[in-house]
Amino acid sequence: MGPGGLARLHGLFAAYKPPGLKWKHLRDTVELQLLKGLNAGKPPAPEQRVRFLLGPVEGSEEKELTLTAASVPTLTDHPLVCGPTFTSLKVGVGHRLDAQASGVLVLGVGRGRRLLTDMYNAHLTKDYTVRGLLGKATDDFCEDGRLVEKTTYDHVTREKLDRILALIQGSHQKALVMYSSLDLQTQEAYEMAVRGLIRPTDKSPMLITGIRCLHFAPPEFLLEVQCMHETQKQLRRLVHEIGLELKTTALCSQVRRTRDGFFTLDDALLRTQWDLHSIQDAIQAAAPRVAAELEKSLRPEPGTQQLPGLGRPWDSKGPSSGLGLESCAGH
Amino acid sequence: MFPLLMQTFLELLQGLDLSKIEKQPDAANLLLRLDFEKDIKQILLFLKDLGIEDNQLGTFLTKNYAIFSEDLENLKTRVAYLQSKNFSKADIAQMVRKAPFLLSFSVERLDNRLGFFQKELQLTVKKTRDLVVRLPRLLTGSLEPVKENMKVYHLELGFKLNEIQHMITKIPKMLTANKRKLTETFDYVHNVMSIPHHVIVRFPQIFNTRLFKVKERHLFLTYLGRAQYDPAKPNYISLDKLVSMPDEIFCEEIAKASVRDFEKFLKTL
Repeated sequence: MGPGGLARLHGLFAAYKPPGLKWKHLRDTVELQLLKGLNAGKPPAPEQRVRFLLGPVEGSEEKELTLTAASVPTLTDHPLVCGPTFTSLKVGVGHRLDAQASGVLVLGVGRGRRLLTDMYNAHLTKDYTVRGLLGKATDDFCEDGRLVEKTTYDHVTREKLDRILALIQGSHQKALVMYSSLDLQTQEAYEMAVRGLIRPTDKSPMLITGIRCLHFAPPEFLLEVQCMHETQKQLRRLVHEIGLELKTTALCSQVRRTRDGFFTLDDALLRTQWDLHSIQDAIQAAAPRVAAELEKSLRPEPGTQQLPGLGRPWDSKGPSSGLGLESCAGH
Repeated sequence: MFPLLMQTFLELLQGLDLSKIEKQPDAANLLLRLDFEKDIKQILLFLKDLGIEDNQLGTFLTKNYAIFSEDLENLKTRVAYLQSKNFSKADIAQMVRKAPFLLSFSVERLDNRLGFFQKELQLTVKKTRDLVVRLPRLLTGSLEPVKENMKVYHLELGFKLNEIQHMITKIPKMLTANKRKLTETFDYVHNVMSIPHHVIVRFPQIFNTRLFKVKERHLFLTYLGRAQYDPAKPNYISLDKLVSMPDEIFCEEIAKASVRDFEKFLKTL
């Protein structure tokens, strides 16, 4: 089982990081569980060695001791002598999540770590659900930070919130076009913009491709954000700034990643499933999708000159397909 | 290592983990200098007399291989001392099995330790004996964490002495638990779940479980509206049922939901 198990352990899979757990601890826990599973398998048969043993020859009446050759198992491979077969595994983490955020966290094992870099270069979007609370402001934009300000929020309505979210999306769409180094006057670029395939070429600040309000019950509101190149702190700062735009204050009570590229909540493994078999099954289940998506992302798109083909129809995936139309209304 | 010695060890003592012993710096020198007839055989026979079975000798010696360099007379004196304190033969065997370093401690040290536990916890002689038999590593470990934990229970968490005695007789591990984890668990259970002291005393297992488990299950029950921890009200859920059961039984009997619902809920946290 040992060598066979390790062979099936190359690729990408997604785990659900619960809030309050550091991503490094999650990575270490996954590594320990995988090692436990691999070392629990049947060890290979010990090597045999030919040794000359001193013993009486059978079937003879004389009591002479002669050397006979015999094949004896050696002790050099015995697990109680050398220790367990597997002592470390290389597990890499994709886009990180800070301790208070939760959600889909992509991990790569063995050869899958190379695919992590490919995923990073493909500039895929991520989906977040962000829960906000009106009326308070803290210094680190979270609920347990030091309280800075308290305001009223009776004047806030759903329409005002939607207007502000549309403004944000519009400005980020302009930034997206700027960072993608596309000339929007050409026909191909326009078609790509219509289909929502514009992607930045290299490093850029946080870019929001879509944002909308799912639920509004003052003082609580729930936003769904599709973005890339973000950190969770910037998302919390965004909630704070939305509060400021609404002439009140807001803080962020929950940041949860629901999708990272092509890994969704359904693919994410819970804490009880972080063992060898479930991870192997998850890697195998995700492998064809991963290969297809990365090949599509890195293949040059026909008809464009500037972009080396970073297109992927993001509005066909994920729950918010209606945002594809709004992205054009932004400019 | 001489192959003969290695082979003897592996054949006689199934379970003796040489890889772990090799990691210690002076182990190899010590073991090579031993003579089988004089030292090893006597001590192995002595341990078997004590009541340790053949298959348990391996795990014992992996931890305390240094017992081979002890004097046999000293070991016999220490066992006689324990018997004089009214520990039965089976008790001594169990203690030595669970805490392999016990017999390497001198009589004065064992005496001091037993006296400390009797004075600090103010338990009767019989209860101290039961406590030590259940968790013999109290005698071999350091006493500082125990003193700190007692202060934490008394001053920081606000338990009275008889409450602490009751909890410790049920779950001796609480004496050596991590201070920070104790305070975090107590903070969540007392302040967020609003469970008063006298209910916590009845179920000290809550200090023995991981905090995330308590949090996840409590949040699930609150979501379903079944988070009732007051014994006087109907639909009461006791704390030991909250934490000690595996997921399937918890979901079926306590939460009255399916495991899939629990998993879906966990993904919304």
